[in-house]
Amino acid sequence: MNEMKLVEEFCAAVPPPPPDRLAEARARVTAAVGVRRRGPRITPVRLAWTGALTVVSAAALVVGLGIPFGGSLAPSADAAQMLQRAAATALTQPVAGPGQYIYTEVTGPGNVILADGLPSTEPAVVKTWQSVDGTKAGAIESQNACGPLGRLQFGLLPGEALHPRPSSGPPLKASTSTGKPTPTPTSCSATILPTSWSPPASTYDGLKALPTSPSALLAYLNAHYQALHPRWLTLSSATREYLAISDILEYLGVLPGALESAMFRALAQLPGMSVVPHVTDYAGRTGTAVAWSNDSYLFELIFNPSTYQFMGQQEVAEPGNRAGTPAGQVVWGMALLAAYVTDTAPAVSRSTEFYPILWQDFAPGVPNTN
Amino acid sequence: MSQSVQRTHEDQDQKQDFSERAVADAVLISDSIAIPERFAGIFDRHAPAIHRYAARRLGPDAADDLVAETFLLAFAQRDRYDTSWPDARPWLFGIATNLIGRRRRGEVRFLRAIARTGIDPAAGSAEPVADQVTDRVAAQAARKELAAALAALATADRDVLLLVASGLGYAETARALGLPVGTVSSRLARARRKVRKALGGVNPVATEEDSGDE
Repeated sequence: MNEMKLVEEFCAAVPPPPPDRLAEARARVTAAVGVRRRGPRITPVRLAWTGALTVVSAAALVVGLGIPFGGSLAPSADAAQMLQRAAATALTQPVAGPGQYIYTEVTGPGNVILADGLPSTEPAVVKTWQSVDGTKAGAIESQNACGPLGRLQFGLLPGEALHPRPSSGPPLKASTSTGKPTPTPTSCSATILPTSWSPPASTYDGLKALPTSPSALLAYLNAHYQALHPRWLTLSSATREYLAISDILEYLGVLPGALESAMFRALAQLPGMSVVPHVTDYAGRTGTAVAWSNDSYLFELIFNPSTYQFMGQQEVAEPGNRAGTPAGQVVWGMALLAAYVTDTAPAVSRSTEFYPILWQDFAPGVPNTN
Repeated sequence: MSQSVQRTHEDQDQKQDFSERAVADAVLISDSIAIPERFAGIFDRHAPAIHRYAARRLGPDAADDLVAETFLLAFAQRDRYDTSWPDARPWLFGIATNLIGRRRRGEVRFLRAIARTGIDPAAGSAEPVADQVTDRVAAQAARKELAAALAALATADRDVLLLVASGLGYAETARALGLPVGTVSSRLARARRKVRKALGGVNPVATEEDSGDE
């Protein structure tokens, strides 16, 4: 007997799987099947994470504290099917390696901070370079109608201490150079506000360690959020799960494909998800959304209707919302313009003051700016 | 008359069955761009083989997930399928191998567990039954050594060895891994040499066979 024969026998010793063993996999695949026609591939686009964005997002969410997550509705078959398709597409994400950066470019309202410390409702473009393994400083830069708003370090390096937040004054003054459409005075005093993501899995590599089976992921996120956000314990578990997934989608434009796929499959299990067939995102593109309502806001995850690539998120005020925001107003949104893996990031002066935003900042009581 | 009608139905059934089987994977995949449901046929044809392959490398539990991921990825990439390959097996094995590559550590852990215990969770009850206790013991010892030897291989070499041992030809393995056939040959030869050495030179004659692989 030669070694090849041994290896062949080693392989042949595995019996064919019984049909029921493949049933779940088949269900997942057939759920993804059913797409009418696959459109042309688009440039992968994903979301970025900025601190101010999170402030707005969290402020909007605070309004919904204590409101059950969509009641006990089952997810609609359409929403589940769409999320399964998105889960299939997510597996085509590029893979990032050690020493590389994730570049993410996003536009939306509320991702810069005004001089009074409140998020702007004017649009701004935010670009981030995030170290894949957290061993290098990343960068964040932003610009709005006034022009460039500056560039800061993005993310903490291992062992780096958090600077205390100053009691007065924004971290970086906006450039006054313009040449763009006349902005409002408040917009031109906007600042960018970098952040660190405080969960332990705060890098691409860290996120790779998260569970990639939907149920294990939901259990992890629930436990994680309970520990991290004690005050969010008043939310239903489904709300926490939705928010956690939404947060991760904000965090990086390119996510580990298996994780992103698991996140969409996990959302497909959550109650109360529905489909909004035609949504216009903040960049004016048309998409299809899966949505969840907390009776005050409609939270939409937007996908390319042909390829099911994730395009962004937005939160839309619903009639009779608690904050009195006009119905239909987008109170927060991120349209993902570009995302890819790159070997380089722009230099950031180490003397630039670094202002982390921590999760504990997002406590009930944060004013809703809308 | 009734017999003749009956016969006609049988003929039709056979014809339909035959024509269904005769449709190449490439045609199903190509059709599935416009009619996605046709892709389910690709799953039904090949999922068992992919599951066995994945179970061999990662264990049966991890294989369940990997099969789904393989076909979901294949579905998402079906518009890029090279229809000059009528058989989708190399393509699917290639996707599965890439996904296994992302779980390298899991695979090595799985192999080392077999090497340590001699128990193969993937083999189930289908293991050949040895007549003698001594044979069983010898088989278990051989399995331990083989698993240890496989765990020690470079992933690229193990990919080639296990794809060929799972029934893919050289050209199919080359297609699966996106490599020239010559590279497949040399990697296979290297993998076999290392395994042979680790097993204490099972068959010295095999050295001559391998000389043509390089």
